[in-house]
Amino acid sequence: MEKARVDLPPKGGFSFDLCRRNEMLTKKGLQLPGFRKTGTTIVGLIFEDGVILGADTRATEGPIVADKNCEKIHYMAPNIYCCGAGTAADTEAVTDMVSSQLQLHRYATRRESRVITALTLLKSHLFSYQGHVSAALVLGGVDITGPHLHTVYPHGSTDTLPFATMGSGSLAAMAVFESKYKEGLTREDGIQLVGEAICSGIFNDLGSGSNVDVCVITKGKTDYLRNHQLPNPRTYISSRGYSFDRGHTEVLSTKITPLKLKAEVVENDAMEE
Amino acid sequence: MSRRYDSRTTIFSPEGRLYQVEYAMEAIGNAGSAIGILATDGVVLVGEKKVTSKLLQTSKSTEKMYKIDDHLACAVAGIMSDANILINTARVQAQRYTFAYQEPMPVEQLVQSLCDTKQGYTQFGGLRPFGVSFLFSGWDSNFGFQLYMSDPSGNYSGWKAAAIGANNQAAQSMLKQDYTEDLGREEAVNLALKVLSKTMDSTSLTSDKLELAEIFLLPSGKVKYQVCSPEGLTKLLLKSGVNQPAAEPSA
Amino acid sequence: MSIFEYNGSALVAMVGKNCFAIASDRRLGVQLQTVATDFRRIYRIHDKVYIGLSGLATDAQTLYQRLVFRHKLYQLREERDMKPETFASLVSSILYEKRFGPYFCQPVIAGLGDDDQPFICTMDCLGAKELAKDFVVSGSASESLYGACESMYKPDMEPEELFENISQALLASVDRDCLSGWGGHVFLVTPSEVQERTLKGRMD
Repeated sequence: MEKARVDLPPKGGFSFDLCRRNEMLTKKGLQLPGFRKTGTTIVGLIFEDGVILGADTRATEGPIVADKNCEKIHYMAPNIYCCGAGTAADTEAVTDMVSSQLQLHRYATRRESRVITALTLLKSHLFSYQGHVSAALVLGGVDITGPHLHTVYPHGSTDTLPFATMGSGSLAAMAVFESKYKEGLTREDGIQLVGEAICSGIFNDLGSGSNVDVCVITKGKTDYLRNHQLPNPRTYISSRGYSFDRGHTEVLSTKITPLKLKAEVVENDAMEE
Repeated sequence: MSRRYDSRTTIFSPEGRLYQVEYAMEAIGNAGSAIGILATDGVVLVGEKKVTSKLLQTSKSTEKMYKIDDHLACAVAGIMSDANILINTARVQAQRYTFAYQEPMPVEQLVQSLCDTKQGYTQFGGLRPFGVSFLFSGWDSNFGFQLYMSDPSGNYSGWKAAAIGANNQAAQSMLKQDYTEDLGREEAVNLALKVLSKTMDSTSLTSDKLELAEIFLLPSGKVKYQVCSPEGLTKLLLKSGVNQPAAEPSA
Repeated sequence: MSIFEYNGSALVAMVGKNCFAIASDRRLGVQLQTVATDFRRIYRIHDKVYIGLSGLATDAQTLYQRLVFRHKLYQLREERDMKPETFASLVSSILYEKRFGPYFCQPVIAGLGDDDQPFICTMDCLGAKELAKDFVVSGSASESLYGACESMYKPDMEPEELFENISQALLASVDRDCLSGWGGHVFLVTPSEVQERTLKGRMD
């Protein structure tokens, strides 16, 4: 038992050995902690020569903003990206896992990854965990068969759509898409619309906020526009912050450890003479 | 007759021998040798690197000496690929012990656990034994500095001075003659170099054919594993007089 | 009561100019009863990487022991120390392995990279990394720490200035949290030295 627990490196897969204890603790009335979520507005649309994905950059832990500028558009393959909403650890892990599977698949087949492959890998993983891996995704990419846009729900069901939204801000964003989306948008109009949809999430949904990230995927080219719009700049900081006098804080004890430089000097002095 | 008992590691011959294990020891007899000497204030390990080709990239770190934990190191003679597996198990073993007991693993316990692994391959069929001998050196709070030697059969024993690899018997008898109980680390290094210079096949001892590592206690009481740099080795060789600079092939 | 409030803790790390500081409170409690006032939750991984573990103390210690195990093996095999980024990924993957039965710990990781660039990062108990450029906080006092750091932090502080800043932020925050306090530990790490200081604070 002991042996298996610290054996390494772990071959992957989950370990359930604390589940019973944790269940016992909850029964004793201790609440389990909240996990870091991406409250999130994520969107995607198909335009005339590819796919545009968009996301806000707020991460929350309950009502607290945990990260004001996180990244929600994850790399899957050079031609495929994926927006994630839900539990941050899950979206991060599931996209990382699938992207490495895709890389291996490319090495084996020597062909560009297809969006449908990524979609199948994602949905089969999520389905097998019956919704307990809570990742809601918008997957987009351009492959040999053209541009594709899909949404993936935590239970493993998927949709194929010309425009899609996900996360707590999905309604706000969808309102924009439903009123303004049309087929064959130009690149500029597409980016503009995605930005508008995300902003609608940022300003009308409390789980979403801060900046707009955009990713434009066309045949043979991907542009990741990190912080494409910054609609919420920080204005309230005093430019010099606070200054405290040296020695202002009461210190009880100080221990100073000098760090050795790379070349170690101890060497040989014991046997030189 | 003996042929019938050759192919299996796990079957005794009528004379009571395990041939595969003996062959494994034979293989080690050809490998670069290593010498370990227990001094009063530390343990010294010296190894001979076999330079097979000048095109061979010499590794930045040591080839024959491996740190197993902060207080433990070993020198290897034999098949390196086999040794790597064992060194890895040893490291994991030592960390597992630390994880469980929050203290460094006693030296002999580590040696024994590794030798149990080796022993398994002499008793259970289908696999060959590990073709590796080790010299383990280390320090623990119970027994201070220690030196152990192990062979492919999984036998191990504690020594004051020991040799493995090519010409180990000659080296062993020289050590027996010259070893004294009150050897300091510096003298131990000199003795090891002297013995190695006489038992090595090549005519001159140079720093690129040698490796020297020591385990000793720092003034703070921490155990220190230290590998001598090639420059330091050259200086040492000159000082010990083992190597005449004139004999060095400069061409 | 949340399980993070069982023992109580306050942790913060801040970035300065080619240096960083990581600080914690010193209280270990069992709910409202104080058990120890010299508790350590910041651990040294190697000279230039530190991890603070807030949350349930028993999990924090086990997690730390597992991290030492993994880091030690890495050191022996690679013959070098782990980069802070690598270490953060290690912590993240160990936490995510227990996605459905997590350790109740929220780590704060701080380190100096090869080029003396500071790195700080925090995670939730499932291993979702949050890399920040300025400061990271965790523990039962995290809400007040967010507020204090948000107003006190300024970019490119020199080591001594950083020390005063992080100490004041910590002390101000734990005064608004019943479950943490009793002074603090601060590690101030520059490329040439590590200073470990113990702070005096309120004892109520």
